[in-house]
Amino acid sequence: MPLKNHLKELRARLGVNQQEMGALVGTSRQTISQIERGDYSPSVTLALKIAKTCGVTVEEVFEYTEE
Amino acid sequence: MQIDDMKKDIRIDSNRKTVLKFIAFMLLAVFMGFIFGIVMDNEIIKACFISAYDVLRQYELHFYLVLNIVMCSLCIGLYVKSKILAEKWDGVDENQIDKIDVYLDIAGSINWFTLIAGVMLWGLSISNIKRWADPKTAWIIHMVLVFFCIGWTFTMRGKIMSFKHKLDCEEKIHVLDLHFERKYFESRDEGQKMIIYRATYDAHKGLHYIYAVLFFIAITCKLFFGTGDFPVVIICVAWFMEMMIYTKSVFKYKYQDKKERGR
Repeated sequence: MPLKNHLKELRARLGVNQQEMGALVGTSRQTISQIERGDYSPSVTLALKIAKTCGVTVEEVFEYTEE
Repeated sequence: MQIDDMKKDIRIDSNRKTVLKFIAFMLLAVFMGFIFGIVMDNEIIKACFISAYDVLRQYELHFYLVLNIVMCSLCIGLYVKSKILAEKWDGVDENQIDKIDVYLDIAGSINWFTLIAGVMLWGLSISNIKRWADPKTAWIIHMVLVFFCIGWTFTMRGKIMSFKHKLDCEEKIHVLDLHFERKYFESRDEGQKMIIYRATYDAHKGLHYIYAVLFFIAITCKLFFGTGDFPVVIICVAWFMEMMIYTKSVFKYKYQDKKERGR
């Protein structure tokens, strides 16, 4: 998967668990878990919501790497 | 122009691969059919197969009961285990909540498999009801058993689902709701829907191979054991229906969206 992310670190910085993070961005715990594992690339809307919740830009959460 | 040539090359290459894969699969299926036929033609194997089948037919109701009792115990065990884990969960450890999810998913899968295998065994048993000395008692036993087994399956399913909803703080949807499938799907978010899409597509892809293998087995059985045309027809009808639903859905989602955009 060419999309890496720093969601786990940002979530730890916020001090919330996956369930709470899910509630903050309006998604489920499983989706947050999948994104953190790199199993799922979120939609643009969800990526923007996550970045907004973490108080950073999308590029700071998600990183595109050429493989 | 260059892009067009590239696209054409990719297309030709992928077509070649698909044709080769198809030919290889057909050859393998024919070979498997022959091997199956030769093996089943062997007197000893045939006798073993027939005696195993006789045992199944003789004790199908017993198997049905044992299957339900074993699987029900397994499901309850997994459910209780996940409840204990959930009580101990501190709200932070992600591995533990994933473990609870796995236990609940396994319990749910066991539930489905038991229901399908149970229905098959019950169906076999009821089709053989004439061999009972008292058919009336046989009917009562069959009905009581089927209600008991469907009852525990659905109760367990309901318990698993409501526990999952509670765990994920989601709105509860009852399993006996007439629109359960639709409501459940609509309540999923994009990540959960992606799992459903992938799993459904894998099931659809897998079914093609299964139907092809079943078709050759049915043809071989017809040739060697004279099982008749019915299994072959049933497999083809199921294959056709599955493909029809897939094609209908593709058209629906592809062109309905276009129509809506055009408005």
